[in-house]
Amino acid sequence: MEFDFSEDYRLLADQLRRALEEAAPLEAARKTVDTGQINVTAWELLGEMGILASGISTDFGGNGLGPLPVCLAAEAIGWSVAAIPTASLYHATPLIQSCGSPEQQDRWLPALASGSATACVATDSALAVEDDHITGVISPVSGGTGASVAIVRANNQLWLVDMAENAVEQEALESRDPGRQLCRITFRNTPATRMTGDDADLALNHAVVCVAFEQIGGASRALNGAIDYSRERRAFGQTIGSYQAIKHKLADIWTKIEIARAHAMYAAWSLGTGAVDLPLAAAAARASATEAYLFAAQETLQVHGGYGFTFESDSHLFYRRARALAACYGPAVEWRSRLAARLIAGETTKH
Amino acid sequence: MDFADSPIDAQFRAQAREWLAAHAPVTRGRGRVAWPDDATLVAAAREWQSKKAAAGYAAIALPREYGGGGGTTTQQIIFRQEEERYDVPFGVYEIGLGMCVPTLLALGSDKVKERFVARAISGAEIWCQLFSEPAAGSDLAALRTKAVKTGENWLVDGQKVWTTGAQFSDYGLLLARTDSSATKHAGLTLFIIDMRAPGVEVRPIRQLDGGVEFNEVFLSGVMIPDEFRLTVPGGGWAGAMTTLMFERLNVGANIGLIDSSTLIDISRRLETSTGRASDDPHVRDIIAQAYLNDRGLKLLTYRTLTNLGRGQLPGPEQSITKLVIASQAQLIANLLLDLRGQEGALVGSALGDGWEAVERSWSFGAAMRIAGGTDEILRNVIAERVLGLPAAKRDDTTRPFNEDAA
Repeated sequence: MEFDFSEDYRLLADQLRRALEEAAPLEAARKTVDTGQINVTAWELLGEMGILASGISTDFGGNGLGPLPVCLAAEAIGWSVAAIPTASLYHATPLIQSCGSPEQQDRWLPALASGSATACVATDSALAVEDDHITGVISPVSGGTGASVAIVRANNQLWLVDMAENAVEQEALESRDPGRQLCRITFRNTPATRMTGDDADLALNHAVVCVAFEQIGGASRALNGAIDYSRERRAFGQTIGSYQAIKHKLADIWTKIEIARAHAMYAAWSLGTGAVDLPLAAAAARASATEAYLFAAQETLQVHGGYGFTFESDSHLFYRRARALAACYGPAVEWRSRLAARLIAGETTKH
Repeated sequence: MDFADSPIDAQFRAQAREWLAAHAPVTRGRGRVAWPDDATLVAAAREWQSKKAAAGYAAIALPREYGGGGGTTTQQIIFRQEEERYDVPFGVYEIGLGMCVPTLLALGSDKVKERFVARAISGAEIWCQLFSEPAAGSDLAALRTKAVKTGENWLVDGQKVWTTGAQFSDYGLLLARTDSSATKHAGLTLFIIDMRAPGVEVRPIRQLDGGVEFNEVFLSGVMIPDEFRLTVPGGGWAGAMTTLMFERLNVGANIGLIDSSTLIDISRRLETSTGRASDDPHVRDIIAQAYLNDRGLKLLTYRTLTNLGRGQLPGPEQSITKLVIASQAQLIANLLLDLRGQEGALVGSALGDGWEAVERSWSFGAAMRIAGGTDEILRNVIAERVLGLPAAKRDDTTRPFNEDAA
């Protein structure tokens, strides 16, 4: 029994966390709330560390290491609340890798691997297509602002649109978490190329497993902050961390995080090995991590008292990001419903 | 990541499986076999224990020189996983072998080890643990049972409670106060007590669920020879902590409560006034929620096994299992009983196949949230020993106990 990442990967996780803490300190995340700017340094760092290339095969400029390094990076991204276009890394890249035509892969994957391009995805869109030209509006799209390429659904098929085309209009939307930009994209008879595969589920599962790791990273950092604070803040003559009301709250947060982490690790294994139980494992990871981060963000803010509601505290960074991550890829209630349907139908995990 | 046993453990599992298939009586159904009375249970348990002992499976992780299997904790867990598939008598030897014997090996003199360990492992003698008292539950160090030295013996007076298996035990671990003028934790000493000695009176406690698994034990002038003392006088608290530490090695033990699989199973078959229970969105949401918890705990057991394989002992993080599973069992049981409407007020045996397990979780779930560390104490353990939060300020640990108790 070896239910853990390998020693090499555990080292990589440490390196990623330290590198991102430096490239994307929480102070930077706070500034992003006002500026809405992407942290280019952090994005470039992921490129230098080979993370952007790891889900891409060596034929197209990738390093072929597969999804595990991306999962580890996601946890570090969550830990640092970094403002980077993760939809490109978690979802669009594996989607082009699994469903793109050879020409599309050749055109986009090397640029995605190096970080010189980013991609956005709206696979649940219902756009009109005529003679390989797309018309309609998708909104809100995560990672759309500044994306070089968009993957959309039209006529129940996946299409790829080069965002450099003239007939595309991007409009930034106001998001509760400006570190996760959302935008509206309008296509007006925009040229598009059809993707050859239409198995979008694998990439979606890839995305939600990565998001689960990001949620766990964020929840862990929120918990750590609350632990530190409750060891120092004094009330009624004692540090507040000595009171059971605070202890029990933090113990409950930790419990939810540990359970979510176990689910995410199993889902990562399933993703990395191509196991047939991925849909069940990914749904469990998604539902569990969403609950853990929402709960951790909400209750660690509470531990900070009035200070937790100030802009100066870190609490709102986690509170915003937890909401943003809960909102992407469908609400937790839907994932729990899908999970229940699979369980009632008798699906089980491999181990 | 690799979910397979190591080659040595895989071989151990295969052998255990083969041995169990040949020797274990009945394949396990849903829910546990109810033993009609203690005498039948003890006789069956004794027979099963002696078979296991002869094959080296009775105390797998304990040393061979005392009749143990000389194996690893991982192998002990593997054997338990395999043994769980059979309806074998549980609950008679678990406390003795899981907590008392490891304590004897850690603290006992050579004479004590020679006298007791092999006989406990073979099943010849049954052990219980006498820690809790009516006024000392979560606050164990508040216990008042007194042991006074008279010549070469100790005279014990007091009362213990929640003593599982006291009615059929031969010996017990007894934590008693030997110095009331010392501070609360410093005045305790750990002993071995002969449960058949004069002055030991065991009275069963009738429980909420009608069962009588626990006992009160009244101790009046019970004589304990000094050679049955396991710690220095006043060193009992550390000794008791040793015992409780071994409880953590009880990894992955099935505490017999229902989980998401029972909820799925029953709700798929259950018709309510509004349709099939498993079609109800609220039921489906609880199915998902419960699965996330019990599947998550199973995966955490894999983490513990991974750590054991690396030579790390389970730590206080083990507290998570009981904390999550016991209250969840109450939640699931209440949901299922709700779905039966007015019938849900009937006893389990009147509700049909599989419902006695539901009723047991409704009732015994409450007990499991208290036994072996209440939910509240477990949260304190997680907060203080895992998360590093400060202990609550208290004023009962620095004064002499007899001033505090006055």
